[in-house]
Amino acid sequence: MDAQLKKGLLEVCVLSAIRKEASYGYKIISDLAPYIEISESTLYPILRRLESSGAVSTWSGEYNGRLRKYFRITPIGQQKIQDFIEAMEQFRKISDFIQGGNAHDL
Amino acid sequence: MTYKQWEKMLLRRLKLLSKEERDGIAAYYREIWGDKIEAGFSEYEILLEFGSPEQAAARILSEDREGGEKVISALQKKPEHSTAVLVCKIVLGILLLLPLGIAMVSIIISFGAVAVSGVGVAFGGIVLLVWSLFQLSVVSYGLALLGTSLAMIGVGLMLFAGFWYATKYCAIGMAQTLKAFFAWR
Repeated sequence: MDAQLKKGLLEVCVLSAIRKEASYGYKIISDLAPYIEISESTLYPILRRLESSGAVSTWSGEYNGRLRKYFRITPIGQQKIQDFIEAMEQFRKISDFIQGGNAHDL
Repeated sequence: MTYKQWEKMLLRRLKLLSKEERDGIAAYYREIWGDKIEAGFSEYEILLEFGSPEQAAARILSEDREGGEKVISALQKKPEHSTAVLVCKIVLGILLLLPLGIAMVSIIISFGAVAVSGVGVAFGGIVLLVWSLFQLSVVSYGLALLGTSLAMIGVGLMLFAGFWYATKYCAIGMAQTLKAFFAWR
């Protein structure tokens, strides 16, 4: 996949991974692995950006004697997913056009 | 390499980020490390997935626009000096560098004296060379004069060349010391 395209998708993918329930770093990477490759080093700044934009909230809890940081989606994060879905719908129409669909479909 | 060594090298490469950011990164990797160990991965496998500290740092900085911009602007930023700092540097410079400067000038003057001697020796050698050409009628005497004069010319040239390079590198060293001193913050 094109690098720029992948970059745009990653934030939404991470938000989708925590949409149903709060999650943590390793689990997010594991849940996304079948769909998109994301390294620990790539995930970290994405989580930071989502946190600073208010798309996720965080808290730290103890797990097996060590600290674990959990991420939960916020209404802002939910809206980002929704905005992405709508953009993808528009993208699908453009894609159909490029592949030989009719101009009036746009 | 152990995880601790890996983490230390990573954080060294992220030293331009704030302490808070570096602590956050360290906590993040330690957490994932712990989760992967629990999941049954070996230390070797985990570090292989993390990549080298250089790669991990580059990915973090390139993906983190804000952090990357901070690093780039920190690297490009020229040091700003307040007037008070500049005055302190000038005073400190005078106190510390003046003796050094005096010593350097003394060395250069000494080298200059050596150079003048060298020129004198070379000149004397040339005079002897010309004189020896007239004395070749007394062959051994003439040849001795010729040899001596050539030797004097050679010594003179060596002395002058030595002066030239010694002075040059002294001047370069002094200039670099001054530059580093005033660039230091």
